[in-house]
Amino acid sequence: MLLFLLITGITCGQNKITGQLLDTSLPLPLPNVSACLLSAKDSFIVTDTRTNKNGFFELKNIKDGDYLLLFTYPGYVDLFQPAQCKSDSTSIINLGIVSLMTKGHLLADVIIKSKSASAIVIRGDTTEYTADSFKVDKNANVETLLKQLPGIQIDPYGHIKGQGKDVHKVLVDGEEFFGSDPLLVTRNLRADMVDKVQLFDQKTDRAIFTGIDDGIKNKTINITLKQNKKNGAFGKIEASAGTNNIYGSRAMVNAFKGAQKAAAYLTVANNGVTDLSSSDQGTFGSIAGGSGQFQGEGLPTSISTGGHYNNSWQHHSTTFNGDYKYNQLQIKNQSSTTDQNFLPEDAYIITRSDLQSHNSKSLHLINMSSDIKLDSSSSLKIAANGQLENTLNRSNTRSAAYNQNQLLLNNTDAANTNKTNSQYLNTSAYWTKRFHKDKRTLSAMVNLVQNNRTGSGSQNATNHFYSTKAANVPDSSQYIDLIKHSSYHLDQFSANITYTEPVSKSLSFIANYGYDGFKTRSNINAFDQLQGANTENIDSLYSNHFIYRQINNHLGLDFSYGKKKVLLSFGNHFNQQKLEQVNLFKDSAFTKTYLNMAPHVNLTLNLSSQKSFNVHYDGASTLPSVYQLQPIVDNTDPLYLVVGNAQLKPSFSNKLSASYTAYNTKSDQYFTINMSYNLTSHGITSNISTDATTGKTLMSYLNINNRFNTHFYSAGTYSFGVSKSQKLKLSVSAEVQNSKYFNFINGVQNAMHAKSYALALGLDKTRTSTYDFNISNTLGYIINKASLQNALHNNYLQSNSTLSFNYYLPAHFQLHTDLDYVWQDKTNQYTTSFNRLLLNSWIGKKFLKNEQLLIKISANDIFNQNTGFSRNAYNNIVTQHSFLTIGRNFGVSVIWDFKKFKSEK
Amino acid sequence: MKPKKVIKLFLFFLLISKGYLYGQLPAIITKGKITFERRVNAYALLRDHFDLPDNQRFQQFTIQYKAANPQLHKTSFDLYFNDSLSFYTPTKTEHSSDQFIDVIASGNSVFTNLHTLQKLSEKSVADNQYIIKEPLGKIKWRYTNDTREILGFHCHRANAIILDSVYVVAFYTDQITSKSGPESFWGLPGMILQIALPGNYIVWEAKRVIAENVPGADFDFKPKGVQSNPEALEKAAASFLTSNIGFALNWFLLTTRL
Repeated sequence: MLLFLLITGITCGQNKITGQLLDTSLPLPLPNVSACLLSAKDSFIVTDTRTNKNGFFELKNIKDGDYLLLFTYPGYVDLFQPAQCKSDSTSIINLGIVSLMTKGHLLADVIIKSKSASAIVIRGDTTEYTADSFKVDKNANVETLLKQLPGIQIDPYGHIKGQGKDVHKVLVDGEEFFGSDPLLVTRNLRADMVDKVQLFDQKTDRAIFTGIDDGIKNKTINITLKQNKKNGAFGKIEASAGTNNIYGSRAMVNAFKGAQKAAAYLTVANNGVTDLSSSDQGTFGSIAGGSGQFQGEGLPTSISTGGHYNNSWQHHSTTFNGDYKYNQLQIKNQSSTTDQNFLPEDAYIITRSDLQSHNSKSLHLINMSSDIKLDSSSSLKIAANGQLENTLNRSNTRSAAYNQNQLLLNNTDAANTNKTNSQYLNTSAYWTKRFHKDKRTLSAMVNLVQNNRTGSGSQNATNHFYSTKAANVPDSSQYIDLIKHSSYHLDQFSANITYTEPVSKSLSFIANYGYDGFKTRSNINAFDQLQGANTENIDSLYSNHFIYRQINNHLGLDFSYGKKKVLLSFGNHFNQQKLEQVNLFKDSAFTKTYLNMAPHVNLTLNLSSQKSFNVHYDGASTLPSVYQLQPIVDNTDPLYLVVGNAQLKPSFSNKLSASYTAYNTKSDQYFTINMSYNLTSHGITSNISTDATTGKTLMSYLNINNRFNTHFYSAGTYSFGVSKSQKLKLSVSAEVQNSKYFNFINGVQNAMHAKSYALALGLDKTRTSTYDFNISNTLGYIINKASLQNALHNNYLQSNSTLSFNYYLPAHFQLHTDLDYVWQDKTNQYTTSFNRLLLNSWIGKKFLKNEQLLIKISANDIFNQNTGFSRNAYNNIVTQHSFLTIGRNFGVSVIWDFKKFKSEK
Repeated sequence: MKPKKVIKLFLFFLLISKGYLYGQLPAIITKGKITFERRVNAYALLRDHFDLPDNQRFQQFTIQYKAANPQLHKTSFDLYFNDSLSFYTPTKTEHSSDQFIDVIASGNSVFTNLHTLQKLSEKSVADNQYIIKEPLGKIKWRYTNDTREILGFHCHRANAIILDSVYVVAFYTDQITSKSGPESFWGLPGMILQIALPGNYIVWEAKRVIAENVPGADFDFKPKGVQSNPEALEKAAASFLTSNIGFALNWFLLTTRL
């Protein structure tokens, strides 16, 4: 219900201010409204009066000057009205109808009323939380604080979501910290240092600079530090030891002094904790799943350390930000794999293999960047990134393949070693200039990349092929004994220039030209030891020497229109790509030139400060890779060979997507739905031919010209508070996928159809007194169909449940339990269902004055079910894989938090 | 839904909405009585001014006082007000003096006329009463955006500096039209419900507001004592303090000026 105050005819003349106050909804004059005159500059109360029974007021004997009129009445929101008094002016300031909302209505839309003033405030697209209004434990880190904030969710691995969207960057006082990796900020910094947490949509650098919104936004969090916490040191030291020789230790130290921030860390462990961050993990597949936790295969032992420094000078006009990291990782693994390769007419081949490996890597990394304001309208940013990496891999494999009649087709015994040494350097400079006219800008960027890699290793293999007529009788054999030396060199130069010009107040255009040229030289010299040990003859079958050059020219023209709630951008980019590959061994070359374009349209409607709708179309070409066109024959697996196709054409994909997001601060409800449809023409796909007698597979590439590959995806999430007093939140998500994809098997076209439906429910309770928990369950139904192979027809149900629970006992004791349960129904290929329950628990007690010391006893994987197991299906090959992982272990850990801040009075 | 039911519901909503508009608007209060509690942080006052390590007497006094008295010294006052007059006086209940805070200007009575801008007060130094008649001094209030709820009244905050250097923080409500407040604080667009001198350990807070007709008899103020003026009163306080504790403690001199 709205109650309106109407102010009519405020006159200011002859040093007198008069007016009348009405309630428009009745409409009746309002008596006793307080009319107060404040000086505009410093808010001193000059004089005040009340309206009479007819709503009129009069303020007399006002000196010349600038004032603010303040009208207040109980139950109405205060109204400020500027008024300027000049004794020579008799102009009438007619304010017309001024609507005031009652306080109840205002609070429902914008600000949350809480015990302390404005715990949450929304300004435009930024939601700002006052950290002290949210209660956390004494030594809690920023991650624990973020969990309390409505609208922000954190999963058990530390991934952050703000208003339903992923947050990839967390800044500290506006600056990146350790490369802005969220975990290094959220798990390192203390909650009691935080003044405000700001959640906002970060525009692209180009959009911020040019002032022309391109519609691309990234959800970002900025943590501002309290004034008295900008000077001091804090950190954490942890050590743990357990059964199975598992140990871990970590030290993190930070020293802040105003704009200067320095930090360092050291981790030595074999318990799976490799590093704090999720980035720059190098070559070993999925080393860290983004949580600093090893989620790959095998048993890791690691040492990692790093340092960070950033500072700014001259009122932030020059800034410097630098990181150094060193990481040493060793992984021991033993794994078994079963591959089932489906062929036409119900034939198939099963291959069982066992692998033992030992991989190690050491990596030095250095990152530096500096922002310099050259003058009031131009700035320069320079950055450099360098890496030095050494790797050593050793593996042994034994495998055997059988056909559908259990007849042995082939077996292999192989041993490989490889050692590499690489250097990488990337430098860039970005110059921007703003002209006098608003939104007219010029920017230029230059980038240089150099990468060198040398390696040496040996390859040994014995392959036996068996006759199909008599079981277990070798038909032929192949022996490989090679020593290989390889080198790879990359040089890349790219430059880009962008000019933006306003056509009208709401329309601008952006013109962009870019050049990108690179050259690689790749050389593998293989020496066949069967010709004689230490031969110097380069084996021509297994060696190669290629030079590859690519030059890209790119011209783009975009328009951007922004007015009130509408943001529309559209444009087209033209690309020319020239590829050239020279084979120095065979003295041959081939070149290809491609011309293509990428149109796009993006429409965003900001329906209110918390509701937005977006629809988006993108067209893009995907070029065949040099590997698909003219592959380097990679013979490390003689049973699987790849042949290129120089006639391949680029594929073109059209993507249409739409999304709607709505967030209600007062009731902490959010809803988001998005869908996308992707249609690809001339898709580049594979043709896999397997010889049913030998089990050898040959893969080549083709364009699909008579069919489109399609992919439809839609997902929605709705989350709301179930009980405010109990701090209970419920979230529901649904996801649907439907894709159709074509490939060839033994030269015959095959259609793969995959559909999946998933429904997830999550319940989260933040701590009110003695406990908190987080439960979620995702139920999915997957349908797989292949036109050529009925045995690949696969429908199954799967479920994944997670639970995290904390119970706070008296005397600073805490009990924690988390579990992860996965279940997959049996299918046509996997004849048993799969289930696994991972349960971890710990009990700990806090000691010392500020609860700074935590000692805990933990049990990980209590049911010992983390045996390392995965199932996979790709094209017509279905794989089941088991590997070594860190199994059940018990341990004791000691964690000490320290802090020392200089308070500023 | 049946049409009759719909009409009934509609009328019901109309009624309660009308009711909200007419009956539930907060009422403006133009006269009544407010009971204030004045709190002095005696321990802080002792800590800041009497904590002299080489003065045995002060140390003794501090220990004795703390043993016999709570940290916050509380006294109760009533403020009667109408649209032009206000009368502030200690609540008529017997309370024993604490021999420290209550010695000088602790139980002031102040009668204020907001039309003539004159005030009449009765203040005491030890056992002597003094009557002061003087004009109301203009206080330069600065309005702030801070707000607070006091006894269900929505209050705005204003700050001021009085007597050159004393910082004052006041919360006033526009729901009560009287521009008065405890002691001789006045001049805000509404009644002051809470006022504090943060650097001087005193705060006045409204504990009860009664909106009622205030009979003229309640404003009938016949102060007892010697006719005086602010300077003479301050001098009397200073000499009393000097002879008793050896120096004129500014805090007490301030209370004679409020």
